Amino acid sequence: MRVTPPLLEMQGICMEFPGVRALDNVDLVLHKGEIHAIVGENGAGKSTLIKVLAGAYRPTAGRIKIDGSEVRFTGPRHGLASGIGVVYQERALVPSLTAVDNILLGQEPARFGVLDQKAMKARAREALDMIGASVNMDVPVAELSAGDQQLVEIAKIALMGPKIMVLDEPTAALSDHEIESLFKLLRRFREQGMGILYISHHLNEIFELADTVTVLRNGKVAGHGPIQDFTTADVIRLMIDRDLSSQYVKEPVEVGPEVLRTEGLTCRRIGIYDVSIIARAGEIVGLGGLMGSGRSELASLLFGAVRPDSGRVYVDGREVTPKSVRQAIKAGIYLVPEKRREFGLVPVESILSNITLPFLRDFSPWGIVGTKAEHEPVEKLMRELRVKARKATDPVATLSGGNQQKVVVAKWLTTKSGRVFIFDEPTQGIDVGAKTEVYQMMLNLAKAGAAIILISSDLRELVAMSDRVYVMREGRVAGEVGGEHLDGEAVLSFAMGGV
Amino acid sequence: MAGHSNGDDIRSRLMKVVWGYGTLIGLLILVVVFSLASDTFLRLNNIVNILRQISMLAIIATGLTFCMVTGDFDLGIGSIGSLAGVITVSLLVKGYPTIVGVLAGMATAAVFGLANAVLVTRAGISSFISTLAAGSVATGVTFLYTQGQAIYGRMPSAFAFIGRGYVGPIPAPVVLMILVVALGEFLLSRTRTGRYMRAIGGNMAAARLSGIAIEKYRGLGLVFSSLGAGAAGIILASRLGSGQPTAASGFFLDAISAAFLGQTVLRDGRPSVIGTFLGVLIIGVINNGLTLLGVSYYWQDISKGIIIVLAVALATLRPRLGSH
Repeated sequence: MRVTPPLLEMQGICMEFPGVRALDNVDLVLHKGEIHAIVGENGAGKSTLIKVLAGAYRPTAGRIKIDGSEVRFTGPRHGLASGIGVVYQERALVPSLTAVDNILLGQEPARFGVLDQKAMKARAREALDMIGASVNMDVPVAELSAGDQQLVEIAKIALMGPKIMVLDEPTAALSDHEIESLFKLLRRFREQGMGILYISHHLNEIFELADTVTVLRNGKVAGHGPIQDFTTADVIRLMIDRDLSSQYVKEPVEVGPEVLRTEGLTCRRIGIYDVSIIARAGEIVGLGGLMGSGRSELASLLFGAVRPDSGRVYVDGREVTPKSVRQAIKAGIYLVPEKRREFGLVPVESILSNITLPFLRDFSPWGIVGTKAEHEPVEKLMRELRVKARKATDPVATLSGGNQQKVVVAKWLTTKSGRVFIFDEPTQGIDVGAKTEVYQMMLNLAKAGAAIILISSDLRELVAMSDRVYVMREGRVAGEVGGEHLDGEAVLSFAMGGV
Repeated sequence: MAGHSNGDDIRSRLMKVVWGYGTLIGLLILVVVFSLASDTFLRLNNIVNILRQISMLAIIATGLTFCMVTGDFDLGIGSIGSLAGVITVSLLVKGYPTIVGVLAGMATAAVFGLANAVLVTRAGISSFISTLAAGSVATGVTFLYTQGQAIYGRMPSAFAFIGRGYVGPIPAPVVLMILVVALGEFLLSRTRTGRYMRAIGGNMAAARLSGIAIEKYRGLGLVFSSLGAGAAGIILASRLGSGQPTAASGFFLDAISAAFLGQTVLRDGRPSVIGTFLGVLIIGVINNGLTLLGVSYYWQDISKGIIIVLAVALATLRPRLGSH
């Protein structure tokens, strides 16, 4: 029996964005001196939950109580005033300022508007002592190690004396040794009575550190309780959505000879190490893994957007190792990039000029564009793909997300020489109908003898559409699953390294 | 929507026209005001006069438009124009034929454009910095070469024709302007090169991932910009009949203003040759009209500045106001 009310109580929190329910009736209780882990797949609602707590989002429904009394946040500063300090995944430090300046940013002691340098240094020292850290306070934080930067950030939050500290993927950039020190620090905070919310993909960390766990799935709480009541397998099972609807279009396609092969593909600059994969004609090969595991980076290597340090790429048995996008395209490797408005389209230009952009030479006799030689094939392709638009010369930005995505795919369908099609998050932010059509396009290409690489953070989509999946972790292929072994659990186990 | 009365509908449609053609309407208003205020404004010889006055500006601004299309900028055009004029005149004075002088002037401009292209696309320097430096170097070279003195002398009549001749009733520089603007518009909107350049300016990342040689076309934009400056500088030298070290410097601000005004013409706010030409017309009409009205030269600069800020501010507001 507890007499005192919990430190933090979230009741029935809902957060809706247009068309998406990011949080659905989420309850969460955090007591003094408790480390509470929050886990979930990409897009399960972890980040949204943090933003609600920090006061960056105002929930559409639900209540937040701190020490038993309800609070209503009106902005990020309000969250802090109520005793909630958040250490975000993206560093919130100003790289060119020193640790002292960063720790006291926004709360500098000043006399008549002039910074009191001495007092600042003393305060910063105090904050760092409080967390038992010693970092160089006189150089720009950009020159500090990732671990020291993390400490500076924690010191900054600690100085405000929060009752609750939220850490979002705090170990992402830390070495093993630094992780160990961080855990020590968090345990000390716990002894001092602080409540800690710890968000992480690394299940082993969670089992080492946390007292309790909440598993989120699709914005809902899928399970919660004391950590000793769970095994790693339990947590993974809870994270996976079993709702297999029929939106996936998958038929068996006869698998032909090998089309794509990479051998030891490595690029330190973007963190890809020794990737060797193959994809055969007619195969849809998935690339699984968590955010930041190197899937899109691998795609940019295959597509020649980044040059590898070492390793080779073969297409149809011929070495092509592209040094530029043009070479990749020439070799028949095509990329449908993620974030179509950022990487796939020129939004102000017409549908027509977007579609013909990669192979414009084929549609511009004597260098002249906009003739029948361009309009006719494009309009035919638009009809085939059912791109819903008034006319081909409308700006592509006027189309819906699904139709925009069809245009991005169409860019690579104006020629028949495609051998490897890389689809990076092809169904992100498009409606169900358009999703099905994108799956159908992938399938048609596979049937025509191309190899398909599918990168998706949507585990259900990845498992449903792929014949085989390479799971990436920290820039390497951590495992390969296929056939009857291909399911969400298997992919997630490799991705999280929890096996 | 259903609750809208007929009057509202007409008003919203009217607003659409005003926003869509605001820059053109602004030009028409200027023309009407000046023709009411001055009885010489609409006379044929004044119109020819305006066209001759804007011809060099139109050529230099068309070049600038190309480098703005790919998302770059050229701060050196005034200085490069002056240098090209000086080089051409100095060779002609020494007795070289017109064609040699003109080609040498244009080649000088091209060298500066290529240097910018290399610095921007290979060394990754921002075009602001690179072209600012190029302009500074061009000014320095001009003064070293001329010792700060204007270059005079006997020049071939073929050269005088470029700036002062007539083709029928039309001044030669106006003919050149029409050629450059028509060619520029064709290049930008109807050729593969133009399509690539617009794609790069519209979304460089997407253009790169479509396999377009970004460096080549950004470089081309910077070279076109310098060539436009060189051509304008040479025409000006022919009109002046001498090589003046700072002759073309004055084009710089007007060319930039014209290009910015031109960006307000198209709905999506992007540079275009036709838009820039409309901007040039507006500036030409303001200069000419205010001169006819006897307004002091200094007031002309002030009013130009205000009109440009107003036009660009209105164009910036347009998407926000037009969205509902």
